[in-house]
Amino acid sequence: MCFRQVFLKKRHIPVKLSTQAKSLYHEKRNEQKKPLNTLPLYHSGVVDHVEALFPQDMIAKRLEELGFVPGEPVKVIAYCPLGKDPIAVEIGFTRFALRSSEARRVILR
Amino acid sequence: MVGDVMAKPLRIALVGNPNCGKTALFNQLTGSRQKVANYAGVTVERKSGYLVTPHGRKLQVLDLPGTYSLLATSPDEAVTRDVCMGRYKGEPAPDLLICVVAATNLRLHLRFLLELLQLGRPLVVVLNMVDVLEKYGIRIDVPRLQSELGVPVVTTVGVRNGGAKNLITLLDEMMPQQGVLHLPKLNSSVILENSSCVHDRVRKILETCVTRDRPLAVKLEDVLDRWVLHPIWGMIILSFLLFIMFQAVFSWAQPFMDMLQDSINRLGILVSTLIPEGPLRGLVVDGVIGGAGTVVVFLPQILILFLWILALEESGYLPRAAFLLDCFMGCAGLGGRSFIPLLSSFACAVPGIMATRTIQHTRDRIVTILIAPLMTCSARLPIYALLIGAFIPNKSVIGVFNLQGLVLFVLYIVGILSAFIVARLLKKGGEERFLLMELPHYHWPSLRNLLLGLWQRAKIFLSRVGTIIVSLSIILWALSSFPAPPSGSTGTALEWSLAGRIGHILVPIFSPIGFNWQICVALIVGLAAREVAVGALGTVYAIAASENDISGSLIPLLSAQWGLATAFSLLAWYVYAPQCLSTLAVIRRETGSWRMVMITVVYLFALAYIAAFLVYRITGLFMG
Repeated sequence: MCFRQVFLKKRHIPVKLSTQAKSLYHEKRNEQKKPLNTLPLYHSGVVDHVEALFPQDMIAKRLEELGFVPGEPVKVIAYCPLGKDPIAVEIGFTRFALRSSEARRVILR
Repeated sequence: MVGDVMAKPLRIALVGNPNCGKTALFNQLTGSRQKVANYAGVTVERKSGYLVTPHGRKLQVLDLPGTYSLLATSPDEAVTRDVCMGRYKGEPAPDLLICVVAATNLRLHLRFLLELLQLGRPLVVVLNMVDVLEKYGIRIDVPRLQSELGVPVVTTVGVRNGGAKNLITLLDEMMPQQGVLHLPKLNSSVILENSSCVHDRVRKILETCVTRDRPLAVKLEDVLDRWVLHPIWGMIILSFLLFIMFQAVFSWAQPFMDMLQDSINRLGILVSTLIPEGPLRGLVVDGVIGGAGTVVVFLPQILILFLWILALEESGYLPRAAFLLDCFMGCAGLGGRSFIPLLSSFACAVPGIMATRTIQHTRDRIVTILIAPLMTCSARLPIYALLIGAFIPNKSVIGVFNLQGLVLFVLYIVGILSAFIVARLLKKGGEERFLLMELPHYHWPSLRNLLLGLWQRAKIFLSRVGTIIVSLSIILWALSSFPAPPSGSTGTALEWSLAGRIGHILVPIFSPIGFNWQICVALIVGLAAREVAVGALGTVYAIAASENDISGSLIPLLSAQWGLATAFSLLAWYVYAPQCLSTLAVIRRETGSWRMVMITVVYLFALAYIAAFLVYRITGLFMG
């Protein structure tokens, strides 16, 4: 955490993505949410936003850095042998393994 | 003044996302002039090497751990961040950053590149893997990309011989003389903008610079992942690969091991004829050749194990195996990310423990470090192979399985199960853990990288044999040869020697688990490294038997002198015992605490003693 603060102070890289996501979250909180971990196998969806579950949510931050940004199509390519945790998804040209708790931060349109 | 500048090579650092082909490129640039350095007191394994350009300029090249972002979430990412920003302890920022991006994955990799550009340091972009673009039907407008980014862009193919030519040419142009760097002036539209719109920026760059000739055909990943990640087929493929791996270690290595054993025997005989009878001959033949030679024989097995692990790693399969095993690892309270460090611990716990740096979750990381020594490392192979060879008949079970191979497999399984139980006990409560793991594109492992990797392993192994094992063998030889027995004494010379006496002192502690004094001697010197124990037994019994063919004579000697219970007990001991100083040292370095080392030592020795005791008693009961 302290690395992050030092880094921000020194380099002036504003990291405001999560606040953007949060405002979207407030707009949409009353609507039906469709998180990525509910997407069936081999089905596709489009990312609406990444939901930060708490302030300074590093996982949400990293998801955005990995390309889970509004408008990106995403596809579920595999489930784990014992249920749906973790899942493998494809976004852009890349495939990621996500735990269900991580995937539920990604809200689809 | 000028001379000073000329003496110092510029330092360039390769940075980029994971799986961008950085390491292959590094191997291209530095060839075999590289070293894997473990800087003391720092939790990082870094590779550095030297590159001499066609114009004779010398450069030091650093290979930094791959990262997605400068906002580090794990220790290895923090290293990359600190080096890039010049905040790394006792080291100035590199003179030039070389940002490697995979041409096939621009959308993801450009984001990190834009983040790096904002550091405002000298930077060159390397567009790697351009050979695959053709296959995907993608065209990238490099001059356009260059003007968009405002920094030089060159294309490379990291896996092809001479694939880094463009980069080397550029580096040459940028250095009119040694130690001076000139960045080419570009009409830069350098973007120092808000990072919240980095993704928009990336999209814009992609729109202007990348064109697609034809719609994307079915990718290799689509086909392979349907099978490899399939809940049932995937598990079958994984078990098959691991099973073949263990069989290969035994069966493929055998001819090479026989050859090595043969040449070592011949060397022993040759040396005996050259050196006159006396202490010197004893030192060389029994001490050095008997001790170290016994260990060198196991090099082929170790290399085959590493060949498998390297090939699985290079092909992009390992993260997929981690994905399949994640839920099982979850039962042990660990994340799938612990899988790769644990798998490399089968080769050696030292790189395994260092690989835990990719685990963000601190407690997961500590637990993984604690159980990594339970994975059967290659240094145990010599001991297992020796004991199995001496006590397990070489016959087949149910027609197909070799009984010796089966016992070896069981020993591995026992280690794994114990590790899971220990992890389960250490981890209570279900905090949230990261997985977020990239499943990289499949590609054929490049022969060059495999060979370089094997060469490095062989070098490490042989230098260990050459230093620790030879010197310990010599010390042991001296301890077991002096003082000479008084004339007219009964009993062997060994029992009169210092080693014999030390062994006899320890016997009361170890006799409940069936160890005789020779084993006690081997255990003491084997504290430094496991395989030393084999050399030690070789030396101890060689002095007793005065034979040249150590391992060959050791097997019948052991099976004649030890009971089955003792052999099994020793096997059980070695499943657990933390007899490896390098592992303990790396635990100290990675965790930064002696407490962890103490915990590891105490719990592993306790397990070893209990397991050996049980095995000894139970086998004793059954054998009457």
